[in-house]
Amino acid sequence: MDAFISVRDLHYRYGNAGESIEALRGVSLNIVRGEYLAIVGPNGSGKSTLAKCLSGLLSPSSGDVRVNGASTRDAAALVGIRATVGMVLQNPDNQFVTSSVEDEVAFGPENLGVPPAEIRRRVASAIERVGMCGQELRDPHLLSSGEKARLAVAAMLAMEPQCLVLDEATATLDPRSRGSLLALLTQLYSAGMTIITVTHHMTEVTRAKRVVVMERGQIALTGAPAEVFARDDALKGYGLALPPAAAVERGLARRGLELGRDVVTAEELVRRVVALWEGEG
Amino acid sequence: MARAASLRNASLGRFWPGDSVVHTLDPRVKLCSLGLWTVAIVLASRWWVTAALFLLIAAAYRAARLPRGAAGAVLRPVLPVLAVLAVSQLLFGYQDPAMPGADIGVLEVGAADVSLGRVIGAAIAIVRLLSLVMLVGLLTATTSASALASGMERLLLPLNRIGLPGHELALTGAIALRFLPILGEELEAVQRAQLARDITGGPERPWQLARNARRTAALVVPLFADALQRVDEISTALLARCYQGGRGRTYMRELRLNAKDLISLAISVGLLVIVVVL
Amino acid sequence: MSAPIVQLSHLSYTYLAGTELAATALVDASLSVSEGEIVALVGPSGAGKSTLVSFVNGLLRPEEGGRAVILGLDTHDPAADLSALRSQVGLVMQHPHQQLFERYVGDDIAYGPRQMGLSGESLRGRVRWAMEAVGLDFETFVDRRTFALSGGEMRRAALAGVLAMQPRILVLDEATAGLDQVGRSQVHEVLHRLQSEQGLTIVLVTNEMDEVVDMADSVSVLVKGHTVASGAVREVLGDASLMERCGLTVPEATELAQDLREHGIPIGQSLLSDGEVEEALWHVLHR
Repeated sequence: MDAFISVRDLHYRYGNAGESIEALRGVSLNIVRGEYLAIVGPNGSGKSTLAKCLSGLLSPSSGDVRVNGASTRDAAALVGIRATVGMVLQNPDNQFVTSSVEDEVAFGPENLGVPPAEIRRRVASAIERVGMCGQELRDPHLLSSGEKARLAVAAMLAMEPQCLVLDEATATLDPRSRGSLLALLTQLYSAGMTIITVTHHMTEVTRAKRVVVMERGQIALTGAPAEVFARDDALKGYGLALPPAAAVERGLARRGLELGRDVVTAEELVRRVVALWEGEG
Repeated sequence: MARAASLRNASLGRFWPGDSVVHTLDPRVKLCSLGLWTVAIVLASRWWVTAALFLLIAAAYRAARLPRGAAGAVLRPVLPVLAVLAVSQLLFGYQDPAMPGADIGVLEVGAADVSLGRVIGAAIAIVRLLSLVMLVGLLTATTSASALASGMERLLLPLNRIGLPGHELALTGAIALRFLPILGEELEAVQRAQLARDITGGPERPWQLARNARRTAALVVPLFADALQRVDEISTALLARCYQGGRGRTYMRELRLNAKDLISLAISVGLLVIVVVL
Repeated sequence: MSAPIVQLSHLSYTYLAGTELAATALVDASLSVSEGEIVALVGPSGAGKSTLVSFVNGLLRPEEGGRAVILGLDTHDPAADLSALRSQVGLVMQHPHQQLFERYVGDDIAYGPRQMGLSGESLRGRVRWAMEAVGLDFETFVDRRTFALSGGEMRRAALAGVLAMQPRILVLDEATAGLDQVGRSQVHEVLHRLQSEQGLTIVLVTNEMDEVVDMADSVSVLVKGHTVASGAVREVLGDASLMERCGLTVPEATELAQDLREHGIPIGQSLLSDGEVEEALWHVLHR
């Protein structure tokens, strides 16, 4: 299958020639359509910068990012790329520019020149998908933090993207709101949307199909969650913890009770423990 | 802290959704009317015309069916300005010899001789300013930021023909209005953090200039840093939403002038004509 | 444990009371903290947590019916010396840029102690102490530009600015939200050390249940301005139905343990950390 998003030797430098910081130092990555990818790494590892490059919000200093074959260096293709790879930023307050939920959702398609009747259809459908029916006229600024996060997703959905990139969108949510946002992502993923999520939260990572670990502007590790979390020593070096199920498995393994290093989710741990327990019983 | 909390809910610029006649008017009509009424208020030379205009605006508030106290909330922030205006008008205001009561003394303050005429003059000046503030407050209270932006952009459309960014100007205005309460919240947080470290405490005393300047700087610096960061994030967000200025933009709500709009506009024009003739 | 040094009882608070914009933040909220204890305050967003901790350093005073006694000082009393209270209660907020304002790191950290009358060598010594306490090297950072610091360094500078006043009580208002694992455990380490070495009392406002397990001795739950539960961390966080009712979730390890129990694995209730689940499983599976 052809790559949906392909990244080749991507470098990105912030600042001018005088004092510049190289946030990305040679990143190469292929993302296929319908993938669920988690990008993790310590603060300052370049994961947010990578996310912004993927959605065409930053242009590479050198190297190449292509979405459906179009390069993000090509100014004429940028609007199309940004509509295809929709980016949800961390602080919703700074991405809302109107004063009602429906205007906010309409803002993107309006910019794309979508005909009015079609905008109304998309707005209604996006608001429904994130479960905010009946709240069309509320002021975005006065929503709860969980609602703000879902509105930010709806605002992207109305542009009908093929991919959503979320930059630490769950970082400051309370656990309940985080759960509902994650459920929404899983639902969109099942419907065929490509999901790329930047996060610190390891349990969130286990929902992904592939993990990219960033460290100092480079990809340090990549693979399925089970493969990445099997490298716990390396992860500790990058300042990353294990999700609870993997941590428990590792602890038991150290005591000589092996359940398998590929355990990362709670369901998997429960399955193995039950098998062992019933096998013994 | 109370001061910052009220800023958080800064009401000039706050939109109260509704379905009154005033709410449903075309934003372009409302903006044009704002212009026409403003000119009328400024030109009105007779006290009873000024008073009548004020009453008309009050009637418009009624028609808008805003929550109780919305008008008060609009006026509260400008009260100090009104007070200063009143005093200066009383003491140094232009005295029209033709004004009734110009020769009736009311009060003597030092060299200034306050006549009844001055009192009336000051009252007129205040009612004028009140009218202007309430007019703007009515517009923002009954018109959503995006309706304002789209109305403004279409009015500014001729600018695009001579190469000026009409839509960008309109959106900038709308965003500025939107972020007023958010900056208020930010100010509250900064104040909270600093009060916690400012153990000298106590009320602000006007004569402690150095200390007050330092306090103000301590508030403004983080607020400015925050505003800059927001500007950066908002511009990124606009890119992510594929914003490209007014070019090729469509609107969810199509603006079409209906009879109600045309009648309102006609009333506003008529009003200005009457005021000019009078 | 000694007598409470923070005693907030039945507090209510309404922002802009009496106006059309009135917003009720607290209805009936209480909080009790003993000396040297770490108490976590949790609750869904909008529950009034920030408002409640504003009573701890006297930024807010109780209205009718409520009572707030902090370090023996009743803040309802109009004669109460709130400035003395503020020097003993430090507040650290989520966004460090909200509390940093001096151009250089050293000056910013010196701001509080300077207000308290320190100068010269003792001031310098205090700044050095606070910086080292949070792991910022004095020589490296003292003359750095405040707004050129990285996010993690800024957080530590903000914490140092508060610690430099050597408060007896430290309030952290979601001060670790959005920090990565390393940053968070560094802050935790600093706090634990200050607790054990200086007997510092800490009030921790947080959304992260795992942080509560890691840090707190007891926890208080605030929902829509009401204090609905408080007690030992295990009793409160381990109670899944209580957490559910409060619109919160149990710690991830607790949820895992619950899953296991539902599948017939006989492990105990209210396990809070990965380590405890591991221990319990070891006992069950290892024969």
